[in-house]
Amino acid sequence: MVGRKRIRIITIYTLLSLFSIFAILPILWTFSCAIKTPEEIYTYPPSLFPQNPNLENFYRAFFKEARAGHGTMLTATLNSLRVALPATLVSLASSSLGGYALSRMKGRYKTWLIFSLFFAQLIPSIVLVIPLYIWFTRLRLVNTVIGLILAYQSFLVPISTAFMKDYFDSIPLDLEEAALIDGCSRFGAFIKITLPLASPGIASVAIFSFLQSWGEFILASALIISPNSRTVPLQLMSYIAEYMIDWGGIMAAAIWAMLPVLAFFIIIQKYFITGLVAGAIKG
Amino acid sequence: MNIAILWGLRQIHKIVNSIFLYLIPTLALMLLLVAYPVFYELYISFTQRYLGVGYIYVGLKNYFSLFSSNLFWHSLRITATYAVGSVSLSFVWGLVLALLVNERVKARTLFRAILLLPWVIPPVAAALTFRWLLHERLGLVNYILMTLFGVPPVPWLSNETFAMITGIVANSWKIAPFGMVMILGALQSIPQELYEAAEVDGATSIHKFWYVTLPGCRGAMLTVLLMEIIWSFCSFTLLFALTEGGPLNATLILPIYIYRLSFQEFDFCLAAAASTVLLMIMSLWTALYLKYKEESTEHIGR
Repeated sequence: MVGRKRIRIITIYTLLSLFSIFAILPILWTFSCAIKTPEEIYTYPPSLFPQNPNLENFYRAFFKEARAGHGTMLTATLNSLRVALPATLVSLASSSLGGYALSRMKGRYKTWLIFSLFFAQLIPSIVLVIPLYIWFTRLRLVNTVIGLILAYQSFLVPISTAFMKDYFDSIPLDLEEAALIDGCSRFGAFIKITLPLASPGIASVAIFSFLQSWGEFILASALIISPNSRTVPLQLMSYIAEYMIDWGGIMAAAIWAMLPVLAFFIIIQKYFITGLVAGAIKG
Repeated sequence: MNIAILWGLRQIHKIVNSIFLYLIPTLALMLLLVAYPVFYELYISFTQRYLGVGYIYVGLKNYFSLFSSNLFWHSLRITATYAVGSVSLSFVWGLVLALLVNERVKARTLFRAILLLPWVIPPVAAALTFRWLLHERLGLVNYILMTLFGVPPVPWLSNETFAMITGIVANSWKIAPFGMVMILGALQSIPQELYEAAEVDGATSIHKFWYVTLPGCRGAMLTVLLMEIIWSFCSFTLLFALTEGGPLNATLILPIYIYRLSFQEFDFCLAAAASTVLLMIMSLWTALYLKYKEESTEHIGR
């Protein structure tokens, strides 16, 4: 009996380690190549541990244009931040208000609204991108930061609102009602009592929204035209589209694109995972 | 007069305090950026674009030309292959991961965190990583296969069959952790007494798995299945960045076909018709999911 148990434990550990290696090896390999010298990347046989690690690849990706007018990761990062931060704020504001309303309201509209939110989460961006492109061309919003911020709300708002609604559901009404009886207005009670209690939920939504906007590709690729307005995923994709072969620079850029995710992941795993599960619906 | 003012003030007060007011930003954004585009997309699919004139109603013309196009049917077949492959692989993968992480082992949180990583990294970055790992001459994978097993270089991304397999595995690598997290949550909410009761009744571990574990996470599994089906049908970025639909259209799933029609050939109207097909496939799956979800909740009673 003891023997069988030991075999079971060993099997579990072996399988867990194998799956973990499979999950993390591509990321480690990317990192390893990003800090190799350009010569070492192409040496055969390849080595997992770089001989003299350096940041030369990052320097090239950030400050040197691979080709005139191609853009750098530095401009791409600034563009991404310019879009992702306001997009996160807009999604936060509308989802805390909307989630609160959905959580506290009653009646027949409620079920209907929740169902439409669920359905909106499932609509893929590839379906929305054509009408948005045509519409934004008319409004002269193509290739602008505002256009992209707005377009991102199409996938941020449904998920964030549904998540905030669930979060507000878990906050008891008692405190809010007490504040209302004491003469607080509804908005006052919302701002002073309910919203602070919901801050873990808000943190999750903020992280989720930021990371989704940081990594989004379809809408950006349609709505951004000039190389100088490219966001990080577009810049990454342009390396492939233009047949670059500087794999060191590409791997450095890829690691940079993963960095915000990895950073949040290490620092605040708890909020991160709740946010992810909440925002799980959209791919 | 005073009464009228008072009445007016009370109405204003009511409106300000009304819960509907809080819904305005969400509703406005959803109507403008989701509902309106969907209807506009439907409208465009019934029109033809003429330069200098705009979009003219042409009835079902786009749908006829779509359904008579070989590439469209080819793309549907590819989509089905890709979806069936991705869903079955990622579902089993996620289930196995959940069962493993659910065991009481040391460093469980660390394992869970590492296993979750593929899901969270941006899809374009993941695709680039795979492109370099699977590079035919310089990639690590081919090097390992060569030195350990003497396998000649595998054309992972330039051969039609291998490109599809690579796409399926990469997609599953990316979405399986979602299944893990969801199913793990359900596993941990199964009361321990059920297992003890089953043990008293003399159940083997296979019995316990079949009659306690599986029914206990049925709801979560349904959700995971729906999501993975929808992601496999509608996901675009990872496969596009990995293969761009190639080689020889071998990985031209419907979303990539739509993207190509609209932003490479600029035939928005035909692309809109294809989008409608995609939207209908998605709605069908959602309807099925909602039906089964209802049945299973009635069945188990929670």
